[in-house]
Amino acid sequence: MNIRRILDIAWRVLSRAVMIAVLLVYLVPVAWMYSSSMRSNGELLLDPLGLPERISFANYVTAWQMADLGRHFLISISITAIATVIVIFCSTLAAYGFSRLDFAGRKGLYAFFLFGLILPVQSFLVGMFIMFRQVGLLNTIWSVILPTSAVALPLAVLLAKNYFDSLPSSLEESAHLEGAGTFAIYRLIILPLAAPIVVTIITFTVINVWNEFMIPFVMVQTAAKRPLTTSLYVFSTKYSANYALTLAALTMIVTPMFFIYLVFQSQIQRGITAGAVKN
Amino acid sequence: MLFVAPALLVYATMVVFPIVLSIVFSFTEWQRFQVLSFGTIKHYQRIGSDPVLAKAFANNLVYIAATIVLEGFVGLVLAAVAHRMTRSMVFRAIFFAPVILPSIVIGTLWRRIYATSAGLLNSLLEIVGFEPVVWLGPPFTMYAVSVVSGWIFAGYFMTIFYASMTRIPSTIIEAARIDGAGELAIFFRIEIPLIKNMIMLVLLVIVTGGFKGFDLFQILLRRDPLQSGIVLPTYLIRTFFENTDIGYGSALSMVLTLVVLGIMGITALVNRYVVGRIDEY
Repeated sequence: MNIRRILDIAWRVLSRAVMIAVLLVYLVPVAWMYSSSMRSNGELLLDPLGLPERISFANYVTAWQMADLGRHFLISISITAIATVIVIFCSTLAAYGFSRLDFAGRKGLYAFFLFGLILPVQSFLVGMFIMFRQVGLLNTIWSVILPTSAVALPLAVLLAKNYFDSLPSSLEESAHLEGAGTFAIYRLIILPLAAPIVVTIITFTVINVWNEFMIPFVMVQTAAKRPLTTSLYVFSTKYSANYALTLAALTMIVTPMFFIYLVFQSQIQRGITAGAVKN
Repeated sequence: MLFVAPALLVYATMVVFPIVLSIVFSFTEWQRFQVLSFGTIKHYQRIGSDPVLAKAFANNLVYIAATIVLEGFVGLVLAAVAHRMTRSMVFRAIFFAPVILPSIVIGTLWRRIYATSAGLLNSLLEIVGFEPVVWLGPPFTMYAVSVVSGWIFAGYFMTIFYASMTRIPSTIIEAARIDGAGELAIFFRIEIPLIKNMIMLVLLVIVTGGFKGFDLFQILLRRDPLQSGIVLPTYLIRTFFENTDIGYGSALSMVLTLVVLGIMGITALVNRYVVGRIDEY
């Protein structure tokens, strides 16, 4: 009994120690980023581990102006908003079709869609680039919006279809008897009922499109048209000697995301793990 | 059919048509953006004897091996520890957080952390008396990138494993404890076998993801002049994009596609005939 008790305590201490050590691996880099972003670059180079002597937002103002962050924020917001609307509209409509309507080739078409889940983006990247170049849409927000929407679609269709499959069809049947058309049933009954899965789809689409790096890296070369991610890449290459400025730019991008995560944490976790974990 | 049309339109024009183009391009002779002739197989002949491709492929394998440990195994252990704690919520929330951040932010931050002079890591090591190390160069390149990858995804896979572990009936674990099973025995004999399917799925995600990862390599290593950290995706983009070699770039993208789909296909077959279906959980 005594040995058990000692083992029990040892286990508790060990597991706490592991968790706290890992916690430090996460918190120290972030704390260092915040601390360094408020120091001058000279101070940072002399003493990388030092703390800021006073709270100063000078780096933030400089980085905001030099990286033209306001413009790139707006571009990223437009890209994300439009892509999300496209994904929600297309995926719920298609999922309803796959779940409720009978048409020739339904199963084959659905499997064809799901194939997109396992395709690497690289398998269509080259063709996509040449296609956009040919129609003159390179360096526009559409060259990011359309590909990122297409990448998000298969998972969105899968989740929405599974959700519709789980809804009882009695509501629609009675609506149908009342004389409602298929589209009215979709808009007035199915879509409101689908709210939870729509929230999940919005969550992962917003996060994935907002964070997307490779697609705009290839598709957008005009500095003024770049979304936040690739504009920051160019900025941090250009000012790679100025650590403080780069870290200030990062801090401004990360801080609002931390607050959003704090508020919607469980929703976001559910959204991003939706692909792997079935509810 | 009308309902499916908008999604089909986006999917067909943005995914299916470009794949067909890429396949055609890989059999096409190019002069920059100019098509010279169709029907050549020289790009595929080049694949067998390209030393850079061999290097990139080898690097991909190192990255996969390292991330299986740093993302998968670490995630599994963290999940097991969290599963035994009464209040693990704050830990889980913080470990998960990096996965929602843009790769550019994490990559740029870690580039600063790894910086040879005035970087966080070397400054910390200096306190305990180590000389500065070039982390983002040979022989550390691939491991340095893998560590960042682990920093991002260990918490993600922890969350997934944790969710599976909470679905194990607690009576099974309690019964084992009463019978005198230690924590390690519970981990290896109860938790791992019961979430085996999820572990297999995560392994598949890590292995295929290991061939697709582009962002961290590009952001951490930039142009990577020594090519010590070149992988298939960065080699592909450099070939078609920076050297404007559309033909060989397309052929490389086909190689990457076939590798990923091949692994998926083999796993699916093994599952069907050997292990049983993966999504039964």
